[in-house]
Amino acid sequence: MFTDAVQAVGNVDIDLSELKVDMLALSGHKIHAPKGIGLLFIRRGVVIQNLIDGGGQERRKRAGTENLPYIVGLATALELAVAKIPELDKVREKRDRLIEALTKIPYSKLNGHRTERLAGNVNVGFEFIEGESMLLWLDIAGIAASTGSACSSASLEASHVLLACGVPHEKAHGSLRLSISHETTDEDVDYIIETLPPIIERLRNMSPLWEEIVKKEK
Amino acid sequence: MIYSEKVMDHFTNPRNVGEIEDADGVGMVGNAKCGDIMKIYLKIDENDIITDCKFKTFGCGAAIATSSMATELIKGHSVEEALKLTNSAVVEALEGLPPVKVHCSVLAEEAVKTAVADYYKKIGRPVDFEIENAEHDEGVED
Repeated sequence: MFTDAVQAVGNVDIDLSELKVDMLALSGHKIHAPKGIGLLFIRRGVVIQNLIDGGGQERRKRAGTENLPYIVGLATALELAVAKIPELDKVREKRDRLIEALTKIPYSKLNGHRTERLAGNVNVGFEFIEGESMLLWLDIAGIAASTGSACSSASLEASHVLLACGVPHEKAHGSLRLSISHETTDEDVDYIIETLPPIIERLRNMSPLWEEIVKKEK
Repeated sequence: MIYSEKVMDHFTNPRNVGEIEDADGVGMVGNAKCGDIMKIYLKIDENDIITDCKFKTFGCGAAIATSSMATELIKGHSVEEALKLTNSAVVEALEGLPPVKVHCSVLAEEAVKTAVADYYKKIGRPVDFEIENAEHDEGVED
């Protein structure tokens, strides 16, 4: 059995002597390691095909000179991430503050469970606006976020995860995902809470869908 | 998404946003499922000149910028000239669009033509032109 533990590392305790998996993969950039390095755990006795034939590096599975600085970076990031697992409640507090504030915006909805979610994950859908235009404004304000909107991806498809969660296409377009960590400060959270509502208001005011809602409410 | 400076200018500072209560022609195209809806309002005088033009758009940065540019390009011109507005003219005026966003410019052209068709119907003039469909459903599963 193989597991993709990219979201689990640094969020839950993983004991490979207990966990009944043959292989486990994780990615460095989720835990503040450099982008472009990952890790594959292969349990002793599991045989896999070589990915790149040639040299003897990485037990002949992946030939080519190893990127040592990135490997050291990933190892250090892993140590730090695991050591900070007991402090995740502080991240959860900030997450919950963000969720509370953002779901107070009219016609918004939290995607996913209120408490059974990653400590650093916030995902809120806003009706009558499109995600990419929201991201562009956030980017101008210095906030890096992502959206389930089709328009922000090269494939022009809405997030398959949100769609699988039962979020309809038109609502997936207006979803906003914010990822916070131990490095996120209370001031960062305040700044997002201050910055986002006027962006939503501005975009809704130029939306023909919003216009219909406002007329109905009158 | 990397946009040209001109696109970002029209996105952050869109021209002619709003509604015209007593518009002579209104055109709305696109659908929410695909993530883009454009609505264009035209005020047209007795000489067929577009004296005012407003838009409202639900969509990405490119959708907002193409709507804004399209209204700029037709305002003050005759409906006949407005009908000659092509999506490539909108793209050119915006100093280019990423390839996946070109359909937004097609939507803008379509919105202008739909608004003019609405005006023609209102004054009893036959709609003697075709409106190209933006093929907006491409890549989206039902």
